[in-house]
Order: sequence, then C-alpha cells, then structure tokens
Amino acid sequence: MQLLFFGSIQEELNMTDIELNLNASNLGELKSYLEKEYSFLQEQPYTFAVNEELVRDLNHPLNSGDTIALLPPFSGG
Amino acid sequence: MNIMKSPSGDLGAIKSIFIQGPIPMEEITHWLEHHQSKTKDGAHDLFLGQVRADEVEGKVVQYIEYTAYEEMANPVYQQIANDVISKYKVSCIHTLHSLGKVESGQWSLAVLVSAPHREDCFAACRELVERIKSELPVWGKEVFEDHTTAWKENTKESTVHHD
Repeated sequence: MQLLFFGSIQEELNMTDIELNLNASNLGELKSYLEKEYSFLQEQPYTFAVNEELVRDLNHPLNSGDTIALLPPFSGG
Repeated sequence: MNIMKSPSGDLGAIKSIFIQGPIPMEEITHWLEHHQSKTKDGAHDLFLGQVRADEVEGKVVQYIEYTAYEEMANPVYQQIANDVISKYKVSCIHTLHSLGKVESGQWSLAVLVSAPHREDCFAACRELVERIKSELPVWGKEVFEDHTTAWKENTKESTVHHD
C-alpha cells in the first residue's frame, strides 16, 4: 500500500509518501503500526483517507493496492 | 472554477479550484463582468478570504504557504457545490483557492455565488465558505518575519446545518 503524508505530518516525517509492505487487514491495524513506528502520531490529531475518501471507521478493510493518506486538521481558506 | 446549473439541474464537472499563488484581482473582475449579461440573476455574493498579519507571541505573520491533497480536495469541493446548488436556488458558483505563497493582505480564497434573489445567495455563499474551510484537505503554514513557522488552525465561526 502507498501512504501519503500532508501538512504538519509531512513536515515532521520529512517525506511526502512511502510504499509499505504491511499485512494490515484494516485501518486500525495500520494505525497501531504507524503510531508505534512514528510515536509523535499518538499525540497528533489526524484522519485517514483511503483512495481519496475520508474514512473514520477503523474497521475499514484495507487492500494491498490502497492509497492511504494521513490528514492533519484542515486549515484552508 | 465555474459551476453552472444546466437546464436539467445537473452540474458540469469541475477540473480544479486551485490556483498557484494569490488570487488576482483580474480573476474577480472577469467573473463579475461575465455576469452582467446574466439578467435573470438579481444578486451576487462575493466572499474573499484575505491573509491576516496575525501577531502570535510577538511575531507577525508575513505569508501563508498553502498545500492541498488535490486529488481528494477537488471531488470533495464538487460534492459540496452539488449539495449547495441542490439546496438553494442559485444559478452559478465560482470558487478559487490558492496554493503556495500568499502574503498578508493578499487573497487566498474567492467564492462568488449568483442567484435570482439575495436570500438564497447569502445563505449559499456562507455555507460554501464554511464547508470549504472545514472539509477540504488544505493546509496553511504561517511564516513569520523571522522565518519561523506555525501550522494554521481554523476557528469555527458558525455552525452550518447541511440538511
């Protein structure tokens, strides 16, 4: 799966995206992995988008070809 | 980007609402000129979002650097525009949002709503602006005079009911 990072998360990680070979069956498993790997995410408010759609349900199933974005709070306008 | 209601009530697909840098005055005057021939409209409501020279802990914001998840933001905007145009009696919506550097005093968001009457025009414009600010995956990084930065946070100025 491909991960995309935006805003303050992108700045903190100093990368825009990463290809991840992770056996995560749902969004919750990915979230646990990410927060262990990048501990600042435990304190950082963010939401997920899967294939360009906002997903709040952590039971949302994931497939290996998915594009998952980590989105900090929006501040456009 | 311009969205007009067709006779069947459908909306044309948009390409992108984003523009690199501040929104130029010419773009706004072009929109307005274009509407003088639309004589069924009786009202235009124009919202311009301007970068404020906010003072944070003694430092003044010089500019905001905007980034967006464009592949997601454009369809989200399209949905918002569809919702608004089916809820209110409006004939036309124009929206532009900046990416990249926008200095204090310059415009980063422009929304023009045209309608036969003012009531729907005001309400539709208000709802569009509020939803753009809360639902579009766009981020602003404030850059101060001393080159330090802070991630902008949007304050919620009102509650908008979507139904």
